[in-house]
Amino acid sequence: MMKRIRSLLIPLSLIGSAAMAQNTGTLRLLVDPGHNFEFVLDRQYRMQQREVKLGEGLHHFAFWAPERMIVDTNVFVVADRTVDFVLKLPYSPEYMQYRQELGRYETKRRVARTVPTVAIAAGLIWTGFGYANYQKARDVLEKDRENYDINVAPGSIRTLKEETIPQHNDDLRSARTGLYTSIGFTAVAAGVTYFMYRRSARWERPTLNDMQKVLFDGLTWVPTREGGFFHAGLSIPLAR
Amino acid sequence: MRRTLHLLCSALLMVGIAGCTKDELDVAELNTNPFDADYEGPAIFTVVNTSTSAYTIDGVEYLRLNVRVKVHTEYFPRATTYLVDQDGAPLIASSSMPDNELNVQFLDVDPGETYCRDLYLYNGGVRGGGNPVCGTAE
Repeated sequence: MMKRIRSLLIPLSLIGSAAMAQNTGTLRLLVDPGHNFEFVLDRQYRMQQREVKLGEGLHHFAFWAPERMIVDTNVFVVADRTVDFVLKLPYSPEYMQYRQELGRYETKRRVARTVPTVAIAAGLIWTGFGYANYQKARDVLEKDRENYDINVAPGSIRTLKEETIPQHNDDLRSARTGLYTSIGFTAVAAGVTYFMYRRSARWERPTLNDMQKVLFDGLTWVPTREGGFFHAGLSIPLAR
Repeated sequence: MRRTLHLLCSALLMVGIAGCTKDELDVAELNTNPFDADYEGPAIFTVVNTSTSAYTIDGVEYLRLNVRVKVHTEYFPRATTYLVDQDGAPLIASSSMPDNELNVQFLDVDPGETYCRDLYLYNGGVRGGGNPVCGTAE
């Protein structure tokens, strides 16, 4: 046990002694993404900062950020110099796959909800037109009735009764059939919409299984002013 | 979501019920216009009075039945000119009937016999409604 504690304190003392000896260089980390990247220095110290002072020599860095891949690299730090280190962390394959699955999920869900909703809207418009046509056909027959009541030409009355009114009766029946059809369509669309909303609400949303984070969260030593602590990552998939 | 669909279905139901009413015009029920050949309302022509008179042709005496007929223009849908078709006898124009009455004559009648003639309203070359008028010779 004492041996392990001693081995953990040695790197800190090395950093401290190196700094005191002014044999250090500064590394400015210009990493994309700049706001939440982390790194493990020399396979031991987990840090989250944009500038580090290190002793001269070759240092190992493992950079990582959420949704990005771990990038391992070695950097040579020159004493008394400030060097910019530029790095763009590539997206991880898991994240790319997650984005694809999420896109497919959202498209499928959007289609499942939008298509019947659009059908309802179309059905409502159709019903509106159907009702207007029906009312129009009723009005035409009402005018025929008024025409009959005031007509004083027997020939015109005969034409009205033998041709005009039967034709307008057919138009009314046709308009009524159209209205019923549109109502039926809209009702079915409403039912399908309700069903699809309920069903799509139960569809499982894809989750990101960030394996890079699991790898990165391996046991590391995080130095702090108070002495530092161990950092251990444990991933438990709760989605299933 | 569920409430919206309930409202939607209720609205559709109401529109459907509104469309359920039978609004077709039944042609067979259109028979209230006196100018309609299928007219079945109150009689358009009614007898005011009858009289029998004698007339002579080539020294032979015959009897003539005169039936005074009233045209009930109050049943007309609106004020209008018209003709009366006497079913074979000459047409009579309303302009020649200032009091809306006309004479229907039956020639060579026998006393005690009843004679009838169908009268029709007539406009535009087509017959409208009508009814028979009858009178008994004396």
